[in-house]
Amino acid sequence: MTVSHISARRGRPGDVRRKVADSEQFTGWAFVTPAVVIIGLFGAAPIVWSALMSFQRSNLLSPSTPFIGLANYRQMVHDPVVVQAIQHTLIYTALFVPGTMIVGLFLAVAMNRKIRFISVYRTAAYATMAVSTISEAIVFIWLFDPSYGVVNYFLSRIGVPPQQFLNSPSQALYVIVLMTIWGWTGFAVVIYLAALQGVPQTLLEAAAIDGAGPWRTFRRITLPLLSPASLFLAVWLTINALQLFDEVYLSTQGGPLNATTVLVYYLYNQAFQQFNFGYASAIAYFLFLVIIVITVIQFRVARRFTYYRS
Amino acid sequence: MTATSAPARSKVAARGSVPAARRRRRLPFSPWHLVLVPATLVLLFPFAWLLITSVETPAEALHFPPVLTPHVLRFANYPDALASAPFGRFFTNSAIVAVATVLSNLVLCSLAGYAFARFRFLGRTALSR
Repeated sequence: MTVSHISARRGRPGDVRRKVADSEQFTGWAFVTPAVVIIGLFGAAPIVWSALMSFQRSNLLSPSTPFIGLANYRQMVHDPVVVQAIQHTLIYTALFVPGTMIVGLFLAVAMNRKIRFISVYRTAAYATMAVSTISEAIVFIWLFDPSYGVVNYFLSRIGVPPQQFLNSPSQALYVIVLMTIWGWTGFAVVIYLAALQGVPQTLLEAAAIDGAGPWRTFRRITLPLLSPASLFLAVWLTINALQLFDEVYLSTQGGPLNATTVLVYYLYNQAFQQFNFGYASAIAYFLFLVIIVITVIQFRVARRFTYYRS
Repeated sequence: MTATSAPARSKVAARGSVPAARRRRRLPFSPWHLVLVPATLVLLFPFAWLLITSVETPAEALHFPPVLTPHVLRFANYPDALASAPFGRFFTNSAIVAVATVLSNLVLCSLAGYAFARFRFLGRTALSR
């Protein structure tokens, strides 16, 4: 919005109201400046800087940061660990997002009724949300410990031999999937419960009068009415899943044999352990692109399935 | 937060294939408990396990098969843990970060939000998007 715009809307130049617009210019900026400075300093500046760095060779310590064009991006294509990291990130996302949504929806439907102890059940679901990631990771490392872990004990009770879990290249990623589903279930339950409270009883009663059974009522009425919540969860959880880092860093450090190296962990490894900040920035921008593309696809696909009651 | 659609749902069930009266005779409670109790146990198990381990002796904690019911409750673990690191300093640090974050967010964001809502100024649309 330009000055001429404002004055045009506010009246002719020289008008009394023009002066009001001018003083609003000043006051408005006075109010906004502190927030803009902070966001600019800690938000916008690093984004621009890392964009620059992705075209440089930089270790952030030596003053020489030669521009090397697209070499960082070209290196990514030929880096086998990046290919692995992309695979792991996609496998993780494909399991974590639907897993959390299905568990959350199921529990929310089960909890959306007035039965005894319902507040206990709901609190149990919300409680997982209140746990910090570090505590969550430590408890799960403990539960899934190959030698002392209680999960191996339960498995032995049903005749399954002890598993290596986080020490096994073929299992570690799936343990992390379980860990994060547990951690995010509370969030999905809260969102779905709120959406379920918004499903009008009149529609459910009408369906019942028309002879629809519980399953068909759910499938044809409740589920479509929940679709905006589902879209929100899908987008939100996907962005979070693609940025998975904390759990990997805390439990496996990307191992064993890179089996849990996901994109952000590899980015961290390149930036803060190998000091290839240029390369790490290129990975970050690649991930940024992936997230944008996937989110746009989700919104496009959702247009067909999402039903907004208005 | 109350489950407003609960009565409607039981009506749906009543009109379904199994009459509610017969089902009620078979189970003295809502069948959803059969789902919710195991789910709650799974959700709360990590918490329970933390709590159990926190009063076990080191030998019990590292025992396999795991000791689900400790013989002696070793509450000394709590003072031991508190003494093992400067927790007072840690709590102070957390409090400083939390208070500073909340206060600065409240002040700066409400200022900016007010300006976006009330004033017209150059760049308003560009910034608030």
